[in-house]
Amino acid sequence: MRPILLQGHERALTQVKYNKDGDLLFSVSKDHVICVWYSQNGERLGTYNGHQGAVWTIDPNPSSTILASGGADNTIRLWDMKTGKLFKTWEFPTAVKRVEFTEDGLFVLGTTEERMGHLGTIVVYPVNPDIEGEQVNEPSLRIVCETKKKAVVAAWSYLGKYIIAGHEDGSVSQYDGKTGEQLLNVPVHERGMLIMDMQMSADKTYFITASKDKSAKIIDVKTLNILKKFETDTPLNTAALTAKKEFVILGGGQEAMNVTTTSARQGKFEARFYHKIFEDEIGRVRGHFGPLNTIAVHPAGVSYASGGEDGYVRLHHFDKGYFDFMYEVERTRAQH
Amino acid sequence: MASQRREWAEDEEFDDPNALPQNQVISNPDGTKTTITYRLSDSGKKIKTTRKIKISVVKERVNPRVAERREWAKFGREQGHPPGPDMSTTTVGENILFKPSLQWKAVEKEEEATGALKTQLKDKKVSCRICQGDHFTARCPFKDTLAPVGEAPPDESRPDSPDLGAGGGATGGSYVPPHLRNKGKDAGAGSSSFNAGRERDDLATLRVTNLSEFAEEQDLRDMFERFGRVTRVFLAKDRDTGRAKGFAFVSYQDRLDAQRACEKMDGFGYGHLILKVEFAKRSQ
Amino acid sequence: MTADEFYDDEEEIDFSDLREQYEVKLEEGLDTFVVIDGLPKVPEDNKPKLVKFLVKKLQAVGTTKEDAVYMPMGDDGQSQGFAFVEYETATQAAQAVKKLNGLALDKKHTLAVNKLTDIERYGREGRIDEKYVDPEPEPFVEQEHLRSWIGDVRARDQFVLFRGDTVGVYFNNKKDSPEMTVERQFWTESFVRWSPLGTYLTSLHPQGVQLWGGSSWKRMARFPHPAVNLVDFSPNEKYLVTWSNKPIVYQEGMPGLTPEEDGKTYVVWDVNTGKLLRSFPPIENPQEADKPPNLRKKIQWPLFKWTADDKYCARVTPGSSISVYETPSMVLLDKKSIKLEGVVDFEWSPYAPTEDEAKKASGEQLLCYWTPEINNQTARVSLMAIPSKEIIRTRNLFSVSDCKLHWQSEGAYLCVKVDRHSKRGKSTFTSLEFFRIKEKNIPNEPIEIQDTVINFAWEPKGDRFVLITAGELPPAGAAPAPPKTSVSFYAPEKTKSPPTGPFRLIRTIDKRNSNAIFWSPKGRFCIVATINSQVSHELEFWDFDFDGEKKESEKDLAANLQLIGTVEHYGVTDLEWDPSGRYAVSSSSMWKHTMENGYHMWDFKGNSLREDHIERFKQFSWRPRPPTMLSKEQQKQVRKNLREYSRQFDEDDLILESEASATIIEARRRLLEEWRAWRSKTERELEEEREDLGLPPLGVDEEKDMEGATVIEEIVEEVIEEKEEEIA
Repeated sequence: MRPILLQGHERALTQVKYNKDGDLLFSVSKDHVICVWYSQNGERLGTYNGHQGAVWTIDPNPSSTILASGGADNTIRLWDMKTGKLFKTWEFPTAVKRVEFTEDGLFVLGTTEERMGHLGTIVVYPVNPDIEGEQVNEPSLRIVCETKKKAVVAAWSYLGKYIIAGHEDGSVSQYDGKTGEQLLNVPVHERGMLIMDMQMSADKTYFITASKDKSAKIIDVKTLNILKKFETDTPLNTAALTAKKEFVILGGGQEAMNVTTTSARQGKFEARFYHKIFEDEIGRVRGHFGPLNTIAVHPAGVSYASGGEDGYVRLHHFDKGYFDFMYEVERTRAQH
Repeated sequence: MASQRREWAEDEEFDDPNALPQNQVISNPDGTKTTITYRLSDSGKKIKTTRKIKISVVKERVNPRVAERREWAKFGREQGHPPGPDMSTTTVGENILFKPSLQWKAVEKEEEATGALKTQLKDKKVSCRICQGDHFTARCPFKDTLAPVGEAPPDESRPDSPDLGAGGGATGGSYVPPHLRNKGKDAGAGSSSFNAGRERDDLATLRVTNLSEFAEEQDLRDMFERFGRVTRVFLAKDRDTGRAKGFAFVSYQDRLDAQRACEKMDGFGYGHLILKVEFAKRSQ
Repeated sequence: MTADEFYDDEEEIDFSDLREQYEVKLEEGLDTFVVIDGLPKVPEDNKPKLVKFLVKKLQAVGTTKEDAVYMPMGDDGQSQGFAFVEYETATQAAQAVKKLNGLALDKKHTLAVNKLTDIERYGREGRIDEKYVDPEPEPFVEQEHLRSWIGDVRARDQFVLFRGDTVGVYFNNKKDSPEMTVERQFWTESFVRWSPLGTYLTSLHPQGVQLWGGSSWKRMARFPHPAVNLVDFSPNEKYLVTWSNKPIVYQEGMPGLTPEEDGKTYVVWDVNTGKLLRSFPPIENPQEADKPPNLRKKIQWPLFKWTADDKYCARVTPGSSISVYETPSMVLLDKKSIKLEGVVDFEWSPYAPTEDEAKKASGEQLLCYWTPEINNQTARVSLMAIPSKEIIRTRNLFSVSDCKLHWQSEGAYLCVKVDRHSKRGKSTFTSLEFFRIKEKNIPNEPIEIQDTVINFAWEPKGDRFVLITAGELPPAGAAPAPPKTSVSFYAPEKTKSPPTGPFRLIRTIDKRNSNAIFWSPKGRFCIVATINSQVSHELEFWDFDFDGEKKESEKDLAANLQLIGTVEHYGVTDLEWDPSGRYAVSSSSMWKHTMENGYHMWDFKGNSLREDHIERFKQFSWRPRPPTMLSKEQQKQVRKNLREYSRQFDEDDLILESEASATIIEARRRLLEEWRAWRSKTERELEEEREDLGLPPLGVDEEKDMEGATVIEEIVEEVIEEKEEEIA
């Protein structure tokens, strides 16, 4: 496996994401720039310029026409994916940490920070798929989080039925996707341990969380029951589910300020692969020399990209050995 | 190389033997490319990697939407660039053996132990590229007068890209922020033109001295960012203690900002010391 | 563990501090009164004389005066043989009870002194049965076997693991997860420790030390030394020494302690009875006293050193004397300390003379001590026999800065590591002075080492040793990198018959970072390690009797040294061999740092068996084994049939393994079934919901996509040649 190194950013990566067809890879970092790459060969297609601060999050819409982004400049922006042109900006009192489209692409959600007297919120805007058309100015839904319990990450469930949010206190909430009513709130991670990442399965019926408490958990969207958990020895920043194989990929590492004396080894800057069902660790991929901040897997499961504190995106295309790996029980089961 | 490195400081201390040479890309007549990259191995040795790269076209069956996007024109910073990956942003890394296994730990160790390269390098000794003596090239007494063996004398006409490697290399195995390096240990594989693509205006670089050994890079960044966009902060640190060596370089995007910062910050009290700020001199 | 749990038996509960603070004191003020009985009966005329005489006696322990004595007169005009006395303070009154009770006034009269409150309490009518009843002897209760773990069918060793607030004891299962025997939260306040023969697990608490054991891990004993910091056992677990940096502040009612203990910091206990034998005040080291507290040397521990048979224990008073105590009385041998001007340190020989030997004059215990250069006398090392106190060997030494005494485990050799300085005192080097105790006249054999020896270790029960030297420290101001060290291995020359030949260097390995030596408890194997280091974490496994070709240059030596394994354990802080010498565990404790805490188990060749990363891991310690009960003959027999045994063991292992893998496969199958069942249920439900909304089933779009598939071209870079080389 020969990774492709993408050097489009000068500062730490914050999120990487594939589009639905998996041919494009988007990356954002603290350096204000959004990059888009062809995932097959790592060629940079373009950049979306306009954010005035760190960009925290991006999401391409399912039809790959619109790109939504959010950042420390307190805005959510909508871009023409093809040309890089900015066509809508929504402003907020605080930074935006997550954006995500519904699976029909008609709504986008965003989470805003709690700061300076403003409580954290989750906002939902309808999106007009026509780039030339008019976009709304006001959100169709606004969920206000309790103080000290802001939503760090949020995602849509299947059919936009629920909004699932991961909070800074380590709990996960389920909100009605239409009314914003909180239906469930379950402590999932250690109290007070930030949930750093949340990624939905392809059909958005379950999701994986990654937390500073060094664990990742797979949770049922409907009940918020914990289905699987993965314990590691390092604070986690990101967790991704793989398509095609029943694996998960976790990334993290001691923060730079805690690693002073050291080679990359002690910081544990490795992507860790676990078996999704058996919860065993099955391998690691080295390469970054800062903590891994974000990991995304190709929707068809053929490659994955990781973005690090070191400013690099590393794009890995799996080779045969990866696809061949199977537990004995899976094999016998497969034969039946 | 020696003269390039020295442009960052007249300071002897900065003359780090771990500084890595500049990466190179050579286009071969047969259409292939040869890249030469340098990195520090885990044991602190300098490793030169030479790769021959074939550029080929592969055909793939994809859905029409993907095919359509393949034809999109480049935009933003890539505007006007021809199709195909650009070496300044896209490079191929070193091969990683990754095979999921329940015994992955044991497998990994085995591979480490039998790593052919490692054994191959084990018996190598330090040898100066200038005089073949058994010291680091950077320590060579002839480094300012002689060219390295088998290398042309420094080419004055070559774009004088600053040797950031000195900064990156100085801290050896430890973490180096992206804007400070161009050849990290393994990312170095192909980061050759990471900086070459973005020419740095050295005229906007300040040399800050009389820093306390407790100085932090972020503090410096914060202090100097008040005058304009800072593209780079390099704080020299001792490899062993991790403490500051007492000097730093701050590069601005705009020379005017640098000018203002120089005026304001020279004589500024930081920690218990009075800063001395001046424009970094380019040594010839 | 809270105070309540510590004293959970009603009758032994010590609430004294709380009681004192909160209890309503009904008898306020009466504590200063004592009642004196057994006085002569005197007429009124003689009373002042008697009182005067009595007060004189009473003032031995406190302040009282004549008008504080009330001696009631009977109807017959005679005093009644008792008196009430008031002291100035309650403490004095208590002292009077303790000291004056039983004091003989003359042949006929013996004083009985009691507290007034006690008379009130016990002396009132009906309080005490007039008739003496024999106390009911406690019925015999079968105690749990204290060494039950030795009876494990698979002869597994146990270890204790301390992580977070949890202490647990486990059986070692090699590669597999250890088997828990007990796990308790808050079992100890600071650390745990095994007794030397593995019988007890020691826990420390603000209230004192507790010992635990038996198969149920119940409490076996308590030693109420408040704020105890350190504990140490005698080699046979008969005695226990505790130390606290805070002198004991005695308060009435403290269990197990007496006013004697006030101000003391060291306490010696009898392990079996739980009784306090003797307590000692802190010792002042005159050389250290002038220095500010932060520069003083750490306390010497263990201060009390025991002979191998627990018969004597001794301690040094630096600069002046060694005090040898006999057990169990803890009385000074010959009632006095051995005056040795300047004495710095001493060590007992670990050899315990057999009973037969002890009868002979030569069968005495040996004690080695050293004194520095003092009053125009050279520094010297001496061997003294105890109890005769006869000095049987001395050696004068010059230019000594420090000495360390290293006995071989059987007491056959003594190595005195002498750190010396050159005449001008600028450079330092080490010489090793060897004494062959078992040979006639105790011959001496010096070995000069050019560098400073920072570590030295004898092979247990053997005659080989390893030492680590450090080069010159970098000059002040240079980077504080630790100096490179060298590891040297020594063995005696081969001889046909005893005595063993002179010690010779086998090999020296230069440019290391190594700083610690861990011999297998059975000898032969040795781990040389770099612990508590930021830069290096190597463990090297050495075999001294390697079964293979031997270097020509070493053919005359009684060793065939070979490095058999090198491993790395990042952040290693501790290392401990199991008592059988089959496994070694290196651990990384959060007491030192918080990176990658946990432990790593190796076999004696350095093959990794298990790795366990444990959050907030603190301590790992193998349970020691008591000495074998097999006779020499039986042991020989076992060794002869080793092949037989090992085949049996291999078979057992195989069976276990297949059992284990069957369970694992079963568990995985179950997990897989569960997951797939859940998935198909969720997928079905989702399809239903989609149908309700009039949406097409998932996956339809993708199929459509591939119908209109197009061929595109990609430019791909491919590495066709790669070359790596090291450059200067």
